[in-house]
Amino acid sequence: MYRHNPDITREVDGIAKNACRLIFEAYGVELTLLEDQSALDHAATLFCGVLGFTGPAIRGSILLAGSRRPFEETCPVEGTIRDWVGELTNQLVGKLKAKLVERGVQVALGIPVVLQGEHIAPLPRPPSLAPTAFATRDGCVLVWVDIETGHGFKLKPGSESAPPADDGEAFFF
Amino acid sequence: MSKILIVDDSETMRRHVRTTLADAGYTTCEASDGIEGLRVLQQQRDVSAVILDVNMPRMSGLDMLEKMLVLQLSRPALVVTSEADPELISRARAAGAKGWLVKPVKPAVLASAVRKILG
Repeated sequence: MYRHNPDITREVDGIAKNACRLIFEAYGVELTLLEDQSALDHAATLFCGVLGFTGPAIRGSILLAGSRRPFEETCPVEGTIRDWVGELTNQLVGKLKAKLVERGVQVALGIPVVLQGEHIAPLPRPPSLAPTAFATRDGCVLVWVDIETGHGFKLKPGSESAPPADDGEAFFF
Repeated sequence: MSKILIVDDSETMRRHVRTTLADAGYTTCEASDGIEGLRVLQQQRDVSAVILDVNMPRMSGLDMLEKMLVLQLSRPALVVTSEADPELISRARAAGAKGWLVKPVKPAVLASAVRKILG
């Protein structure tokens, strides 16, 4: 039986928020946490990537959404917004997976689905967390984590050991 | 001039890598998943190295690397991915990969890594 566990969701949400910030910053867009989301224009068109993952005693999905500008600004070359939203969603979940592996959890990833629309909002089951919103210079980015875990699921304490390579770096065999 | 095969399901990432490698003096060819990548290697024998993503539809980058070994299509390979799972890294190494680059891709790091795997 899989259940929503607010403590685990909060921890994974924290990892996802941090990863989201790092990815956008790596592509030159600074994200500022928006504590008060009342200023968000919910009628604005959002672009949205959703990617599911599953592993022993855990399953879930990540939703990355945002207005057009942050995606356009981070895109390294002229590309389609659909493709780039999918790629950033992939990178976000890849980074989340790396952190989960450090904490003793293996997950397999799916392939992202990309949507666009107005009034896009997840339907969280209470007491799930609301999406986290970030403001950019001229837009917004949202990230949301939905997770269910099975009996006995645990996250090990965070590892002190360094990852094999930092983001953007390479190593060789 | 060395020819590099870029295997990534994201067209934007392929374009980014293509531009970076062109600036560094390489020619490129492309595939959007492992199955297409193997087909390109079978058809274009002058490919000197392969850059490949891990998480792709139909056939992942690691499955492609392993097939390259079986089909005797091996080339120096650089895995470019946002993942850093030690199990995947061991698998890539066992399948003959020469290096692993963690996304996001910085052009200077990528160009230097390609030079390095080409020896």
